[in-house]
Amino acid sequence: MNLFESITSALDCALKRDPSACVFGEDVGFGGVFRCTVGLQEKYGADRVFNTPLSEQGIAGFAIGLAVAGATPIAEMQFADYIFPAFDQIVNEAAKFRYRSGNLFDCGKLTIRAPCGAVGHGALYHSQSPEAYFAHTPGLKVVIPRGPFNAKGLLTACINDPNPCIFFEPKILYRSAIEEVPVGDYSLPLSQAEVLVEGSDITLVGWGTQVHVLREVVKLAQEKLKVNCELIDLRTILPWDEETIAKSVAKTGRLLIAHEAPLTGGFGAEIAASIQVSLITRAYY
Amino acid sequence: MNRRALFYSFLVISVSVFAYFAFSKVSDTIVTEILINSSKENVYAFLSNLENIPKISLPAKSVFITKDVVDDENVRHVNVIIVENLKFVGNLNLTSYFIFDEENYTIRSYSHILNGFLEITNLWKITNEGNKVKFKEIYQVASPKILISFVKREAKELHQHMVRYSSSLGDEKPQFPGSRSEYTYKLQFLMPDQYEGIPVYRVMTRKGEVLDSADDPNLDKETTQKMYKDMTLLNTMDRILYESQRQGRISFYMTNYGEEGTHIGSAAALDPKDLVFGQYREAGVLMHRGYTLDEFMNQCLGNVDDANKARQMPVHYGSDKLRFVTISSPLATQIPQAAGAAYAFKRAQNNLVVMCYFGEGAASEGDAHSAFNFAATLNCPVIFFCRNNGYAISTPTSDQYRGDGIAARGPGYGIPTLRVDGNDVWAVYNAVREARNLAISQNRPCLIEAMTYRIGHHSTSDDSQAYRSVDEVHFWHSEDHPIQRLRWYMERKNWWNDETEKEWMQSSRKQVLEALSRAEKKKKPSPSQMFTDVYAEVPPHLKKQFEEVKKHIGNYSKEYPLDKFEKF
Ligand SMILES: Cc1ncc(C[n+]2csc(CCOP(=O)(O)OP(=O)(O)O)c2C)c(N)n1
Ligand SMILES: [Mg+2]
Repeated sequence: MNLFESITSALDCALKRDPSACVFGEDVGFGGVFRCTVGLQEKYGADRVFNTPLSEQGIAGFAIGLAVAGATPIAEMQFADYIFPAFDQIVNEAAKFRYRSGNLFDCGKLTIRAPCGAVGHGALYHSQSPEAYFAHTPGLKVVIPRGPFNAKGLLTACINDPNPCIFFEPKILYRSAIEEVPVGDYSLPLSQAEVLVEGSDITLVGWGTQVHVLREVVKLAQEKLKVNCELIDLRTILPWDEETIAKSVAKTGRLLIAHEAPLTGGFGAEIAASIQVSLITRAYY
Repeated sequence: MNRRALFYSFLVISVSVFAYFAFSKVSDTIVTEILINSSKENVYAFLSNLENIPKISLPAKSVFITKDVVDDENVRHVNVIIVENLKFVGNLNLTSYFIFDEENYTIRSYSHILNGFLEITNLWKITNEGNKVKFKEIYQVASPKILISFVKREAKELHQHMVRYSSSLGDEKPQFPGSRSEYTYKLQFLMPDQYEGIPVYRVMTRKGEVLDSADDPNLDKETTQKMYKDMTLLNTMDRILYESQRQGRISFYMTNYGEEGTHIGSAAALDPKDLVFGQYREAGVLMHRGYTLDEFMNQCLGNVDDANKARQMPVHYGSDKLRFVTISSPLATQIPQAAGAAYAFKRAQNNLVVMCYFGEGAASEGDAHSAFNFAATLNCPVIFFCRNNGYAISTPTSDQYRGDGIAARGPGYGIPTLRVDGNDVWAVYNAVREARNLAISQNRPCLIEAMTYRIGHHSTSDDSQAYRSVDEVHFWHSEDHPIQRLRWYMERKNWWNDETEKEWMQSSRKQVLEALSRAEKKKKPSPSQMFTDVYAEVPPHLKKQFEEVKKHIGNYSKEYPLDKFEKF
């Protein structure tokens, strides 16, 4: 399966598993502009897989309401660049629903999916990676997969997680690579980074598309510079796996973080700062 | 006769009609006659024989279209023509159109509101007396002031218009996806002021008299007394908590003065299991559902028994038990959420609705628009209940919107809509009960705009004298108060008197004061609660942050009033 097919497969499993699950968003009914929901409406009916009017704030608010009433909403934002009309609903509502009600109400069953990142021709408004905005919001989980196998497992984890999750799908990866992906249900743990290449000289951390860039860097560095890199896919941006990275950096003594989003105030800064503190305080070793 | 030929025959008939409406007011209904001069053309024979005409001649979808003209003396004239196809409701500068119901032999009239049509409850019965056709209006007319005179005037222009129109009716209809109207060849903007405002439904006069006993929901004495007690208890609680804020005992408060009728009337019409999403000025709804004075006080004090664990400002109540979703400060966010919850209800087939309250100010937010549109397109059984109390903090409605209030938006979204007198508890009750039936039986949203007045300041942070006159407030307080109106109603039935009032006022005041002092004695929740419920489980990074806070407070314990809080 490629990545968009693995997303479809995860949604398929969720719809099968949970009769209260609904998949919706702009143009979702006919299969979605990135083909992630192809065939689901035919299979599960138009009351479970459906188009909404064109309003991201409406989609997010509607989805929260479904979750509050006990259903499992899986909402699609057509592009991460257009998630901002829903920012208030996500940041002020979804993230704080449980907290502000003292756990009387929550919308933990909510999952929001959004294609993100650059593909090369998307220019200003079809290329953004807005994960850092959401990483600043307690109460949310933010996840970005690097490939089809991870995508299905992590999306399934988001859907099952009792907290509202935002799942960013690097859209350049939708059709780029094919991996073995189980057809059946499975999930991968959230908030766990994955060490992809072990090394001793420097730790490289990335997520989504950058993992593939860094893989090439690992090879180049080995071949040209004889530098032995350790490569880590962060996978979950919030709450992120500080321990795995701190342990790695404790070993290699060096850290390089690569992300696609703007540098200033990016999530890389959070990682760099936290890892320095945790090394000084020897929090993890 | 094929459709087209039939149409033309109607057309010919219609443009030569010469008749007039005459109005007379008989009790509370308006009787309208269309007098037809039968000697002039055979059309009059046709019309005067209306009841005897076989159904095929006046098919169910026949429409009487009126064309309004206001002459120099400001008299309104209306030409009536009959066309075959109901679909013609486009930009013909129509203010009303009439649909003939062949089964009941009645004509229902519709009025043009903004870019949609809204039914005003005018139902006309056609009778035949001699060679006159009488159109008797059965329902109370929406706006009795309008005198319609029915003259030949402008028949020629109308004729030309219809000829143009007829060519479009035949073979050229707009084929645009999403269009349901006809072509027009007249460049004519739809002018919002041309249409009458949506009427305000009420049952009682300002003096608590029921106008038509058929509209009295006739709730029993006990139920009515409970409603009255809820309204007055809310009022008493408001007074005491408002004062307690002035005295620095709580940090903030918002009163509900003047809006008690909207709260209790609506809450009483709901099923207790219907899920409520509120804004913040709906404490009466919770009170009616059984939220205790202790629960109100605990929340406002933010003490250890506050369900929200002191995380929100006062008046942000919530109760899962009473199916009232915890209030959130950002305005209007609850409205699309209510639509989503209603969608889940529909799928669960639980025969419940979602009730969503919001102010006329909040209705300006994008969330409100999205919510109406989502609920309509996705067929959600939700009641959108707008409390139009005239103000959003200091902003009067004249700065908030330019149209005919919030109700006028309903038809634009395809939502059944009603405007109601919010100070008339029975009108609110009937409105919500009917909306509930409609929402459940048809799986669609309803919009209710309850007209009321915010008698109190916006909140304890506001002094409304800066933007409105004391006289204005006084008018509503003394002339149109929902509590007083219900009291008059009850007194008429001998269900309440000065004696019972005095007793109740004393005992309710005592209850509130006691609850307040109980709540004040309790400690604030443990600071450790700051880190729970952010996620379902406290994640490692928040545990770490909590440990840091704990250490910090340990080091500087003298700087913090720890004795007022539960232990870490
Ligand atoms: C998104 C947002 N903007 C502004 C405010 C500040 N605010 C609180 S109440 C209010 C007025 C609301 O008026 P209305 O909806 O008419 O309700 P009412 O107070 O009249 O009951 C404003 C502007 C807010 N809470 N949320
Ligand atoms: Mg208001």
